[in-house]
Formats: sequence, C-alpha cells, structure tokens
Amino acid sequence: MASDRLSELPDDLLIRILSFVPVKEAASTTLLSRRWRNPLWLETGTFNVDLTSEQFSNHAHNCLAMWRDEGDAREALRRDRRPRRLKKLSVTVTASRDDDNYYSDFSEYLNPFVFHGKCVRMFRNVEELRLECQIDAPAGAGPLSSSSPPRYTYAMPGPEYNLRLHHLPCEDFRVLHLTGCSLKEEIHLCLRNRIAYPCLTTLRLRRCTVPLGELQRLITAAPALADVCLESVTFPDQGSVGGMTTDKRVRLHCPAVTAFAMVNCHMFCRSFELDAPALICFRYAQISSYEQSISLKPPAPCLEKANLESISGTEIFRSLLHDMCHVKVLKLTVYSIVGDIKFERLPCFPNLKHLVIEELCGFAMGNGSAAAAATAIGELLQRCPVIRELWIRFSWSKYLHESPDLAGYLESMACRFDESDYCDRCAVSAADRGRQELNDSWKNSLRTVTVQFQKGKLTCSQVELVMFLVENAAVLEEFDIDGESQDVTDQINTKIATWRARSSSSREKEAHPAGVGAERPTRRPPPQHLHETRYLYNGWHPAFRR
Amino acid sequence: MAAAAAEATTDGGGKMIILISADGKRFEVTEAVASQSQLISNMIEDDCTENGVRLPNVDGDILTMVVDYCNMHAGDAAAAGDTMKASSTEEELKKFDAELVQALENPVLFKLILAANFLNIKSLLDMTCQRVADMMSGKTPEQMRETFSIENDFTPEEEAAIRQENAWAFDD
Repeated sequence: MASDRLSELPDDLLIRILSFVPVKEAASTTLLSRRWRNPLWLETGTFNVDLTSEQFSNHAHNCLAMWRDEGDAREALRRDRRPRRLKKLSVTVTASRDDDNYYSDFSEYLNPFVFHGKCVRMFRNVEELRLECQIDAPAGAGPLSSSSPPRYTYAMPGPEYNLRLHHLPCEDFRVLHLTGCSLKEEIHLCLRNRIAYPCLTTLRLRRCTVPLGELQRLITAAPALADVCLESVTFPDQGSVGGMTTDKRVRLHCPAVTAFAMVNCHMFCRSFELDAPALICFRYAQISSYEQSISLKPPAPCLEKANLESISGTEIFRSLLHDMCHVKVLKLTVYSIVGDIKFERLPCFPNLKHLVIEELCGFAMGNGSAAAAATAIGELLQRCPVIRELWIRFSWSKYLHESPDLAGYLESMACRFDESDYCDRCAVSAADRGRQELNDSWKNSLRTVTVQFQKGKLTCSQVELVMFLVENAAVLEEFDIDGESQDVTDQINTKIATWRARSSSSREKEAHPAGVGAERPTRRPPPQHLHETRYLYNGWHPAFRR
Repeated sequence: MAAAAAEATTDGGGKMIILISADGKRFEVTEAVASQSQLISNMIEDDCTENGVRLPNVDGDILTMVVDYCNMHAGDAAAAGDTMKASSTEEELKKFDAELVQALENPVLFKLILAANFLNIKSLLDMTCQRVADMMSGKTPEQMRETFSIENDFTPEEEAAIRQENAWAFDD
C-alpha cells in the first residue's frame, strides 16, 4: 500500500484543501481515520454546497447548526480556538425541466436557505459570496453543445433567480460572484441609500439581468471595487430609471476600478462610455451585430493591457483604439486579418510591446491574395515602433467543425510548399505584395514571434505571413511555430531556417557591399536544391520570366 | 555562478536571483519571477539574496516545476511593469495550469503543495489544493481512503458513533 501523504500534511494545509470541497464531503472526512477525527472542515470558514444535487434543504439547518453551536464564544475559548465564522459561501443551484417542460424554480431552493432569517444572521461575516443558478443542459443536444459552447452565440437569459441584494448583509463582502440572477432594484429610497460595500473588491456577474442604474449604484457604494467582470449580462431597457437614460448614450462611472471586462453583454444603447480613470486592464468582446460603439471617457492614462474582440472588425473599436494607443499589451480577436484590421484607420501605438492577433476564420472570407495577410500585418507593425513580441493565432477549428464544406475548402487552399520546390499560387501572389516602408522601427525591435495554427496544413496566406516576418524582422531571437501536425510544423521550420539564413546574409551584404561582383546577390542561382523555394519569393522563377 | 548573478541582468531590467534546491541544483530566475514567492519577495526586500537562496525543503525536481510555473505566471504578477514576460495570455495560462496539475501523481502533488506553502506562492497553493479537493469531491469516505491510501484505524463502534454524529454527511 502506498504511503498516505495526504494525512501527513499539516492541519492548515488540510483546512485549505477542505475549503475547496463540497460541505458534505468535507464533513464526511471525519470518518477517514483518527488523524481526521477532529472536524477540520469547521475550521475552513467555507460552505460549498449544491442545493439541488444533494437535496440539501433537508439538511441545511443541521449543517449550519454546527457553526451556530461553535460560534459560542466561551466554547471557542475553552477549546483555545478562534470562533468559527463563515467567511466564504458558495451556493450552486441547478434547475432542470420537469415533465411539463417547465424549469423548476430557483427560489424554491434558495429562499429558505439564503433568506431564512436565521441563515442571514449566519452570513453576517461572509466575505466571499458565490451564487450560481444554472439550468441543466437539455438532453439530446447537438454535438456543438457537447464540447464548449460556440463562441458567438448569445446565451439567451434563461430562468433567473430574483435576488434582492440589499436583503443580504453586505458590510463584509469582499468578493461577489453571481450567476443567473436578476438583480432587483430596491424601491424604498431609504433602504437603497443605506447600502454600502466598504470592502468589496471583486464583482463578477454572469448571465445576470441588472438595470444599469442598479449596477451603477452598486459600484458607487463600493469605493474599493477594483475588479469588475460582466459576462452575458443583460441591461434591460428601463427608460430613465435611476437617472440613467438608455436611449442613445450610456455612461458607467467606476472610480476605483483597475480591471474591467465586458463580454457579450446586451445593452440597448448606441454608445457606451466607460469612465474608469484608474483602469489598467480592459477586456471588451461584443458579439451582437448591431452598431454600437464603446469609448473610454475620459481616457484611462494608466491603461496597460487591452483585449478586444468583435465580429465586425476593428471598425467599432476605432475611437477606442485611439483612446488607448498608449497600451503596452494589445490583443485583437477578429474574423479575418485581411478583412477586419483596417490599418489605415489605426493609430500609432508608441508603447506597444506585445501584440496578439487571433483570427477566427480568415480562410473562409476569401478576400485578397495570399499575400494580403502578410501585408495587413506589415502595415499594423509599422504602427508599433517598439514591439518586442508578436503572437498570431489561427483559431479556425470551431468554424471547421461547423461545416464540412469549409474543411474541404481549406484543404484546397493548402500551400504545396512541402510537395514541390515552389507553390504556383504563392508565385502569383508574390507579385501583389505591397512593400510600403513607412516606419520600419519594428524590424529592429521585434524579438519573438509565435504563430499558432490548429489542424491540417498551412495555407499559402499563412506561409506568406511567416515568410514575411522571418525576412523582415532583423533582430529576431525566437520564431515559434506551434501546430497540431508535427509534420507540417517540421516542414515550415526547415523553411524558416532557410529563409532566416538567406535574409540575414542578404542584410549583411546590404550593410557591407564588399563588391562580390553580383549586383543582385539574392538572385544568384540556388546552391542547393532545397533553397530553390526562396527564389520564388523574390520573383526569380522561370514562371515569372515568361 | 554567484558572480554571474551579480552581473546578469535581463533586457527587461530585472536582477537575476539564484535559487538552490535541497539537492544542490541551481536555478537562475529574474527578481520579477522569483518575487511571486512571498518568502523570496521578503528576502529581496531585506537584501539577502546575494549569494543565492537556499531552499532546504524543496527538491530539485519540484523546484523545476515551481520555477516553470513562476516563469509562466510572471506576466500577471507584474502586469504593470516592463519586466513582464507577456507571452502568456489567459487561455495559455489556464491550459498550462491544467496540464501541470493534471499530470501530477499523488506523491509529487503533495510535495508541490508543501513547496508552494513553504515558498508562499498563493496561486500555486490554491491550484494544487483545488486539485486535491477535486479528487475528494463526490466520493464517499471509503472511496477517499482508497484514493489517498488512508488507513482506517477506527473500531466499528467508533465508526458508527461518528456516522451518528453527522448523519447528514453520510446519506447517500
């Protein structure tokens, strides 16, 4: 029998482990062995429970009673222990359809538990509240929902739990995570104004419905709030409730927030202004197709990292990108590099060190020649004079799964650089390659490039892009190709080595034109069979002379 | 090696620190990477990392994992600084973490927990503890004993008494 390493851990580590375990299993550990006899789970200060799966409501009071009894101060002193206070409460409820296709009601489970008078008293010291109301995945769902949910479908609000936050004690809340809740406004003004969250630092709402006025009040009542994440949140159109008009412009004021994320939210307005002067990290992903603009007003001077994602390209981010041109890290997720990155509208990013570009289905958009992506990236890099790292990620697989036609189409676009010495499609496109050299500082600052692709072979467009980067980045230290197919990765790596050697030698010759006699040294006939490919890219190919 | 530590600076501008494992293996990391460990961060503040940091409780193979983890996560810790190794985006980090933790066998996992605790790296400690918690979730005490090779040293009478005490926890 292997040795029992778990029981050898000191108490404080076991307590930490138990704080992640559902309360039933945590409590049952007293039966493991004498080492575990002492109820360590009561020391965790946490209560993780799935009310539905364990039919917990019958036991909730028995279980909570443990804290009530132990809360007795004299008892705690006698045992030389701190009074046991409940600090972290994590409640999950999963509603499922009944026979009549109705979802069971969250409040059935939650009301007796969360709003039971005695329980609320127990929660007075809770610092971290996670409340998750979710619905069962419908049986017999298609293959898509079996894996991760498709990226660009808006999750319609399912049944939600009507939560009146002000009914909960909130003075000690530090972290608040709510999923599947509908936050209701307090109608009584006196109650509404009394609410304060002096300790709240993290707020995360997922699949919630909350009137903007209510959200604004919550944020205002939390002067230490640093981290806000809103995911699939619906802001219902409510006219001008709470002083917020929802017709054209909506403004959210977050004075202390340093990290703000807004993903797939539904908002009924034309423009959204975020007033967060302390912002450092910003994430915004908008999937709805209707026109909506977002801006930082006033601009956030400390902003370092921005992560933007949109199906309508960078166009809706135009004003946003201008507001945040001083960022150091930028990630853009687009459908198509060629179609969506409108470089002529982009500002210069004087501080940008790290750029990530994720493309979701560029191959299927069919715009431009094979060199178009390389040109687009080149134009973008010219606006990044101090860039050090570039990541380009092709995340096509989700779209490939959706349509077998696409897979066939992609197959037909595979670059044949591996099969023969050259690929004639690339040869044609090489003629279109634009070489405007506006600002080449990036060539002397870019150190690391990573290109990630998923399944299958590289398309001509990808090969062109890789080659463009290898040839132009003069101080490159690392070029990583990361693909699922090892063969393709190896092949392109061989090519990269060739291209690098060639471009560095040609650069040297430019630097020291020690008259070798050849006026165009790079166009000399290839010394080796393998090297022939590269000449194609310089336009030196038999097919070209015709 | 110690002399190298004094000179070596990365182009990110961070000073290098040498970590020395129990079995004498040496790891050279930037201050930004090392200071994710609260223990080392305090030592840096007190200026006592000159001749390398000896970690008598941590084996070389465990320290390798810890250093890998810290290198990957240096970005989020130093989000505001120039020293950030920004190559890792959120998804990469998640994938890296998941792979790191999934791959661990029981004894290594517990060694890693102890190392994370000793070095005081909260995120790594939480992640590894969460992994153990996941291994306990949904299991009966009997199944937990089997998973972690825990020997049952109760008499049947004692066991019955414990079941009685917290009956709700042992319902199936």
